[in-house]
Amino acid sequence: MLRRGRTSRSFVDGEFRLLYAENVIEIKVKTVAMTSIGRHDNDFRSLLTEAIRDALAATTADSIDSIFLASFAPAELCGIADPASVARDAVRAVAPGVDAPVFGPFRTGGEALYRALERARTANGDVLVAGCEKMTHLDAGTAAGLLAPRVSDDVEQQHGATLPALAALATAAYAHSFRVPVRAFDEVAVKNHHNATLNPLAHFRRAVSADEVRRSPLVADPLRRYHCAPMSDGAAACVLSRREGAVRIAGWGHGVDAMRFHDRAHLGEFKAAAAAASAAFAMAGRSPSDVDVVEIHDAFSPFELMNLEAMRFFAPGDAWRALARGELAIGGRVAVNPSGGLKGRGHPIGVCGLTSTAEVVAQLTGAAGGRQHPGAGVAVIQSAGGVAPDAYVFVMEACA
Amino acid sequence: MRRGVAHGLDGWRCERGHVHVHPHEACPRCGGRLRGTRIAPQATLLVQTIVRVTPSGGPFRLGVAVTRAGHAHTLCRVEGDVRGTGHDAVMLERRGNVIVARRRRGARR
Repeated sequence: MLRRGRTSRSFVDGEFRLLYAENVIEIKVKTVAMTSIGRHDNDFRSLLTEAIRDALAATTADSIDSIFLASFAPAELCGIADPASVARDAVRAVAPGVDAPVFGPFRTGGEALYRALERARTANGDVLVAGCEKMTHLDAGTAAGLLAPRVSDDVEQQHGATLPALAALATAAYAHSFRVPVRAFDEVAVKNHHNATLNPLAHFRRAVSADEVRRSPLVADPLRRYHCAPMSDGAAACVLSRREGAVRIAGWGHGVDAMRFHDRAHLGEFKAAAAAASAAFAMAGRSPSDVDVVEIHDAFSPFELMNLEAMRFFAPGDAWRALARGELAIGGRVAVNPSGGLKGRGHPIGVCGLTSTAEVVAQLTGAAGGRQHPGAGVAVIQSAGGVAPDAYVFVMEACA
Repeated sequence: MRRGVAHGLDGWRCERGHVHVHPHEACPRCGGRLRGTRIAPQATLLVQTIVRVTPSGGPFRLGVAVTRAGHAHTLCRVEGDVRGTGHDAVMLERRGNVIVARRRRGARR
């Protein structure tokens, strides 16, 4: 169905955005699938194959025009120097006739999805987006050491700044600037763990209390262990189509900020998420008040509140009050991270935008089971990496 | 030479006057060409954290400071009696590749 009368003033992506806004092009999620998230004995290849098999099960594999792969650090974590070939093999294991080019690997599922959307507008067939990460075979210290060069620059490494340390600085600046109490961050973790208990594919299916969060060890003041998302294994895949699908991707946007955290003008605000959301909402002709469900990048619990405010769901410093009133719970004003988010559902780094896509499609098609948000018609996905030097936002709608 | 700058930090300044404590290929704010300069070490500590889980072992304090001259932001290790949440006055010094912030002598606690 074509939408009428929506013209975007956003020319972030030039002419295409105008064409899209004038209903010339529509891109839909045709199928989506994900493995369970957590600890897997399966290797990278078998996890990826499992997700691709499930995503292609309900579609005609021969229609695949191209494949976009997301994986944050397959070489460092799994010794896979050519993950694109692994992805091609995984598709051929399921559909031997498919001879499509593979693009990537992109760092996050959100980045792969964004690039795939560009391709989908001109592709002859459908576009497969797949992501995989295998991390839990390494201990946390080894994985952190391997990933450090990928998440921080040389100056940050010279100062010993780990990712949680930079996240703690961002959190402290945010809490100080907007007078947000640290206990609010505990409640984000409690909510997302609760939501994860309703998600059969989640990494942690155990509720935690605010007291447990408060008593967990300090990682970097004010962040405690239960504010930090885990390392997880998992894979997800989706097929984008211009012809069919139950969920339409109505808008998408990308934003950037300084790579070096200390170079940012505002340490406690996420400029990248703000720019990405502004572009995505303009393209979709929507505003935050239209949204029923949000899947947000909560690699650290305070990031959920900071990202919500950056995307203009709440005024700066107000999101924690909405959380305290229960407005962010399933059934509330807007369900935030009904999947459990990165904290509860799990955090296979490079897959995250795609696991969010799986959740949003489930919510918009009424297939989310016990965690279904009533009347979900419009959803937003926000995907980022590190301390958000760049961010991707997608606005998705249920097709009538 | 301006007072205090002789004992300051090596820094980089672009044609538009944007000052940076760490080297860049070009000015991250305007893309201009950078050349070496000296920066007065007086700074304000904007925020700090105590990092307890570290690959290197023991905890340490990490912060972000902004120099009074040029408003250059920098990551820094924090030493001494600095609270870090009330915009404390600090002095910056460079130790190898690391910037260290210490409480400025005579500054109010």
